[in-house]
Amino acid sequence: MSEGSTIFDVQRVSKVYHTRSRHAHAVTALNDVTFSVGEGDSMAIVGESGSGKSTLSRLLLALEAPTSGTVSYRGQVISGRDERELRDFRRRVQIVFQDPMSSLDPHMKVHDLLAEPLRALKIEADEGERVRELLTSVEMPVSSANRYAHQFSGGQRQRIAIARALGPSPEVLIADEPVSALDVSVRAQILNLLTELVHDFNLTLVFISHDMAVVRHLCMSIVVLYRGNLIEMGKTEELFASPREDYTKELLAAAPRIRAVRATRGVPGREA
Amino acid sequence: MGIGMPPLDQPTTTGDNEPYVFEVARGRGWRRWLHNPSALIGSIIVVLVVASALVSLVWTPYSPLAVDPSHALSGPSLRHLLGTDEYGRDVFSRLMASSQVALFVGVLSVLIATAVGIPAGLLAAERRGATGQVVLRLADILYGFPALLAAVVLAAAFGASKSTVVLAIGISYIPVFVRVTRSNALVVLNSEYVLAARAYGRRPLAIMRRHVIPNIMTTIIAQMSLLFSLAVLAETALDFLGLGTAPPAASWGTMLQSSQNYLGNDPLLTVWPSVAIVLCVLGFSLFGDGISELRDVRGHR
Repeated sequence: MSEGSTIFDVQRVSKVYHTRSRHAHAVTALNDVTFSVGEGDSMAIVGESGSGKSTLSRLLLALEAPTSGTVSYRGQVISGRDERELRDFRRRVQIVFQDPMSSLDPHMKVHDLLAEPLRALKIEADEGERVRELLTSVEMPVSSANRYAHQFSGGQRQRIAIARALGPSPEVLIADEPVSALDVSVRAQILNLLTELVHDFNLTLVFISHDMAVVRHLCMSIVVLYRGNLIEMGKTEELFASPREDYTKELLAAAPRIRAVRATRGVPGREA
Repeated sequence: MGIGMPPLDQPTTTGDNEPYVFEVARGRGWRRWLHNPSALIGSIIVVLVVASALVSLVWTPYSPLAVDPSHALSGPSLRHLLGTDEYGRDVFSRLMASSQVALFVGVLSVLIATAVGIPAGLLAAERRGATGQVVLRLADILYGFPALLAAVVLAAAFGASKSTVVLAIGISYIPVFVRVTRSNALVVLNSEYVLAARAYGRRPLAIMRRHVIPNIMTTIIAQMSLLFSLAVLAETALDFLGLGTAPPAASWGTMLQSSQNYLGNDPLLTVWPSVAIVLCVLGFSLFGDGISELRDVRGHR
């Protein structure tokens, strides 16, 4: 497991969104969350929609700053930093989004989609050569480079999105529900591809999901979020064997009955 | 920047089995263009108007200003295809020369409106805070200031001419482009591909250039075409009111204006410029519609 150094250190992070609506003044997306991700780890962040998973991914990417608390990457605080100071971080941490339809610019050919991160990060490489390599590593034909993303199916698009994330040779891959927008029939293919790539490129994986079956297959440890609160964390096997929290048990059941969960647990997100 | 549609080849059906909805029945970009009636008719009319303006620069059947009192108000004939006006000037030649004015005013006023409106709209989309609000409020103020009023003020200050018309129409269309640009840019800026670009270190300006502008370009061009036709309409209205092109020079608006005195004797004199105006406006609107329809094909998937 995580014998290596700490990659991400999330310390007492809260994120509050202020809305302009007159009814709800502020939404607490994350509330005092603390955990860390070790090198070579594969960590799942699970929870139902609205639990703060995606907010957490944006904080880990330093695309947003936490309201309080700090997010560190290899001992360096990354939140609220100037983009110039983040250049190296941007190269090392990449993301695959949920919906490859909206995460790939419809106006760019696959070649440009894959070359853009290299150009933006000023990575010295033969662009065409690198694009071919990337397409091959996600098992797409090299000829795909001349097409547009909308000419591919959902699964193929997600392969392109994964290839884009691999472009800068990152050490961390954040996957934000990478298969939940896909056809059930192609999910397994994409998950297998992810597993292989994580192994081949020695990636640290942060896998955001609500699907416990997938998580069990892919991840060593799990963080459970419920309404912005970290309610349980642990190694995958232990957590599956003896979940402490009711909510975790509910998640482990194939189809969590969210209404029943609410009735028994009240609204923990508002307590603090 | 390529505004053409990407080639939509035969759909790929390798690997994952997800159906292709749109690409199947459609050919390459230009073929879809030909199969789209409004785009086709629109572009034919646009080509006609542009051609007649260009040809009139070097050749018209008669000089549009040549007076021939002995043949005044003669109806259509072989010598004068569409007849002559009250001074015996050839109507066909004057119609051709007028298309110069229409294009000049249309193109320049739309250029002014875009040159100011698009950057302002992008700024308002990027800076959603105070700066964006200031830009939007300024656009609102401009929006409440009608082109006609601007034209009257400018004509009073600098004298009525083509340039004051261009300026008046151009300024009054700025807010339209601010809004269209801003709302479309916001959609792009909120997209996941921009989030992805930020995650690999693209800065705001580069995101504008590489993602926002290419993705809103078709909408902007459609809007330009539409506003162009409205500008032609506004120009004829201002000319009709005597706030634009000065009388001896030909323009559809002035022709219409002078023809109303002879409505009883020679009603055709009113018909010709009207037909020209309607055709031109219709042509450019259809052209704009065609562009946005083609864009929709790819917008949905």
